[in-house]
Parts: sequence; structure tokens; C-alpha cells
Amino acid sequence: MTNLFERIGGEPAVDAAVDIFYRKVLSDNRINDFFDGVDMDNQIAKQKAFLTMAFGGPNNYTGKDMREAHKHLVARGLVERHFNAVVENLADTLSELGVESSDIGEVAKIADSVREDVLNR
Amino acid sequence: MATISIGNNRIAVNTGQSVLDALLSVGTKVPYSCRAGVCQSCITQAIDGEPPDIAQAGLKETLKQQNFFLACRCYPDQDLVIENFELDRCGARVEKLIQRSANVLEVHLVPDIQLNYQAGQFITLWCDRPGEDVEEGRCYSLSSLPTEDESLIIQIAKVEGGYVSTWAHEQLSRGQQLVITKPTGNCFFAPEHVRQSILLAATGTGLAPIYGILRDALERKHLGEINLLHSAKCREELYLHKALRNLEAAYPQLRYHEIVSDSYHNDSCSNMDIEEKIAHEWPRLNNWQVYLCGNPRLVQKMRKQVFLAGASSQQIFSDAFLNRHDGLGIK
Ligand SMILES: Cc1cc2nc3c(=O)[nH]c(=O)nc-3n(C[C@H](O)[C@H](O)[C@H](O)COP(=O)(O)OP(=O)(O)OC[C@H]3O[C@@H](n4cnc5c(N)ncnc54)[C@H](O)[C@@H]3O)c2cc1C
Ligand code: HEM
Ligand code: FES
Repeated sequence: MTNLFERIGGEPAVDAAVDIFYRKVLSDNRINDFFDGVDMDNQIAKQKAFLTMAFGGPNNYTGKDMREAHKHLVARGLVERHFNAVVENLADTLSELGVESSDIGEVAKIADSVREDVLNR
Repeated sequence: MATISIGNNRIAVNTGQSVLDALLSVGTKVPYSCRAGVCQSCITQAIDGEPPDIAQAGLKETLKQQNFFLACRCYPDQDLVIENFELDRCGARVEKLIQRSANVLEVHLVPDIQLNYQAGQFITLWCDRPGEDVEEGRCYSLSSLPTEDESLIIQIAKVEGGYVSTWAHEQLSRGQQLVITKPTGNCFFAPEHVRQSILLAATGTGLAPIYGILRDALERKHLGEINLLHSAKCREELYLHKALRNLEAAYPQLRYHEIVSDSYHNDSCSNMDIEEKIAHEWPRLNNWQVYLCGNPRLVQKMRKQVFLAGASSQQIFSDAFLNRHDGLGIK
């Protein structure tokens, strides 16, 4: 039984996914203000490590915990609808890459599991 | 709070403080330049204790394994014993000085030992402050080609009120002996294939590494189209104009675009800013490889722009010419 990470296509697929996903996020006027001044390469590397883990791949994510990482954004007005917009961009990315909708559902569930932490509730 | 031991000194590092700042705050002599994890001037080794991963980002695997880390990026979560601040330095003699324009001095340096490098990497140049027990180090990118040039060639822009650039412009003389840190950096020619389209964009002396990368590409007989953009304040500061026009005539795959930001001089030059020019001419950059060097604000802007235009993040190489004051704000 292969896990989600392998089904999606392993590391090359995650590389492609992170690029497409981050491009969508930076182009999305509902949320891109939060990313002004954030170093792109750093952020791409972190998102890659995080997504790899979320998809069940090798765990290299050594960054801050989700609550800590988004605390200053919540102070700047990060709320539910921004969170939903990010998850929407992630789902669109995966469907663009031809990922099965059942798998997309699984990723959305994993993303959802950090909702309370990201929103610092 | 963690404690750093160096020699007989024990220094407390407060939460949110870098090892570099802690050392400087008690007057320890530490080489540093960018304060942003870019120049690697502040590299040091933990001989006891583990540096955090982020302090090792960008270092060679062999150095990581020996617990080398960058002091400016190290917010320690445990006590560390450190040493070895003088890694990878060597002497170099000034072989030749060429004033390329009113603002740009080209310096040819012959290192004391044979150095391996890639065109587009950078060295750190060190100078003493007379009367004070500090030395100043600044990064300068290489426009030389290891297979063709015997010297390391750097191009230094004069910076109003800048210490090292003013020293270089006013004090350097032929035959002078200097100290440099050996070449490092990730911005060098590495195409995916020989027909890949390439965009090279430089502001000011960002042209030094870009010119090195260009010559490397041509020497390796790259076949894909190569577009080189150079922007400067005025026409006189397009300081490799003639050399680039000659290369353009010799290599059909090369196009050289001049950009002068001062709109008085827009006869044959573009009067757009460099990022506007890129957005206008290359709205789609899927599968392109992109190199961006020079002014940090413009480099960051162009990086985002070419990424949104479809260039893969793995295919965008850049050197932002950060100075130590810019570096403080970078995360
Ligand atoms: C990877 C890399 C590659 C580089 N390659 C090149 C290159 O090829 N060619 C090149 O010309 N440059 C290059 N640079 C930039 C170079 O390293 C120096 O930053 C530049 O030459 C200025 O150094 P300086 O000592 O003259 O100025 P500094 O003395 O460091 O001052 C820099 C600027 O800050 C201002 N300033 C001074 N003091 C303060 C203060 N207290 N607060 C705020 N601002 C202040 C100065 O007026 C000046 O404008 C590169 C930088 C990096 C990181
Ligand atoms: C599924 C939900 C999310 C996940 C898994 C996630 C993941 C991450 C990760 C791993 C980091 C890096 C943390 C570090 O520094 O180590 C990060 C940082 C960041 N996130 Fe998120 N995130 C999520 C939701 C959001 C939302 C909804 C926003 C805003 C709209 C957002 C904006 C940011 C920003 C701006 C940073 C950079 C912070 C900085 O460096 O200043 N994230 N996120
Ligand atoms: S890498 Fe630390 S000062 Fe530049």
C-alpha cells in the first residue's frame, strides 16, 4: 500500500506542487498581502519540507511550529477566510497536477488538522 | 539563553540575538559582512555543541558535517564552544586596475594559491581600518573565467559614504598585497540543457557576475537564446557596452539590452525600468533559466516577477548585493 507522497509522484512532484502553489498564493489578492517582504526561496524551501511531511514523505521539516509561525500574521488580521483561500489554492494546485480527487481530499484533511494552530485559536 | 565559549571568553547570547551580534556586543573581533547568511564571512565552527540547521543553510555538506555554521544566522538553542573564524582566506596581489567608468573600478587580483571557482561566484575582500583593531570585509563577484583569465577580476562600484568601495577606488595600487576569502556562492552557469533559453539581468555592477556567467555560457557553446539586460543610471555607466556589442555581433544567440533609468538618455536605450522591461518582453518564462544580480530591492522584485511569469524556483539564480545595513532586515 503506497502512501500519498509516493502516489503523488515523490519529491519531483512536491517540487512542482510547491512552485505552482506558491505562484497561486502570490497572485491571490485575498491573501498575498501577508507574503509581502517574505523571502521567496526560504518560504519555498519551508513549504516543501512541510508538504512532504503532510503527504507522508520523509520528515525533514525542522521549522517553527504552526502556531508560532503564524502568530504575527494573526496579529495582522489572519482569519478563517484567509485559511480557506490557502487550502483552496492547494487543492487547485493538486488537481492541476492530475492528483485524484480522493487524494486531494486527504491532503485537505491534513491541512485542516492545523487550522486551529495556524489561526492561533 | 545560551552561552558561547570562545578561547577563554564566555558570552551570553540573549533570546532573539544572533551569535554574531552577541560576539560583537562584547567587542570580539569577528569578520562579517552581509549579516544575512549570504557572504559566509562569519563562518565558524562549533567544536562542542550542535548549531541549529538554519545557521548551516547554504554551506557545503562537508562543512555541515564538521559543525561549521554562520554566526549571523545562529540563534542558538544550546551552549556552543566555537573557534576558527579565519576559514578559507588567502593572499592576493593587485595585478591591474582599470577604471571602467566614473563609478566602476575593475581590479585584477592574482591569488597566492591556485583557486577553483565558477564564474559568477564571489570573494570577500578585506581591509584594515588604520588605527582601529577591526577589519572590514565586503563581497565582490567574479567576472573572470577560470579557464581563460589568470587573475580574479572584480568590478567595484563607488558607493557614496561606503568604506570599502571608497578605499578600493582611492587607495588601491598595482602590486599591493591583499587578503581575500576564497570564492563561494551559488549563482553560476548551470543550464538544464544546451538549448534552454536564458535571461541574464544586471543592475549596476551586478554586471560583473552576469558577464562572467555569460562568458561561461558562450565558452560552453550554449545554443539557446541568451538575453542580457544591463541597467545603469546613465549611458556612461553601461560600462561594458562595447564588449557586449562585440559579443552580440559574434554570437547570434546573444541579445544585449541596454537600460538607462535616467530618461534623458533614451535614444536607442529602453526608457523602461529593468523589471518593466522584463515584464513587457518576457511575460511567459516557463522552462527558462534566469540569473539576477545587483541592487537587492530590484533583485527581490525581479525574482518574484520572473517566478510569477512561470520560471521554476529552482531555475532562478540570484545574488542580491546586500550591504551590512540591508542585511539587518532580512529574515
Ligand atoms: C554576494 C554579494 C556580491 C557582491 N558583489 C559586488 C560586486 O561585484 N560589485 C560591487 O560593486 N559590489 C558588490 N557587492 C556589494 C559590496 O559587498 C558592498 O556592500 C559595497 O561595495 C558597499 O560597501 P562599502 O564598504 O563601500 O559601503 P558600506 O560602508 O558598507 O556602506 C554601504 C551603504 O550604506 C550606507 N551606510 C553607511 N553607514 C550606514 C549606517 N550606519 N546605516 C545605514 N546606512 C549606512 C553607506 O552610505 C552606503 O550607501 C556584493 C555584495 C554581496 C552580498
Ligand atoms: C494549511 C495551512 C498552512 C500551512 C500548512 C502553513 C505552513 C507554513 C510553514 C511550514 C511556514 C514556515 C514556518 C517557519 O518559519 O518555519 C509558514 C510560514 C508562513 N505562512 Fe503559512 N501555512 C498555512 C496557512 C497559512 C495562511 C492561511 C497564511 C496567510 C494567508 C499563511 C501565511 C504564511 C506566511 C506569510 C509565512 C511566513 C512568515 C514569515 O516568515 O514571516 N500561512 N506557513
Ligand atoms: S554570512 Fe554572516 S555576515 Fe554574511
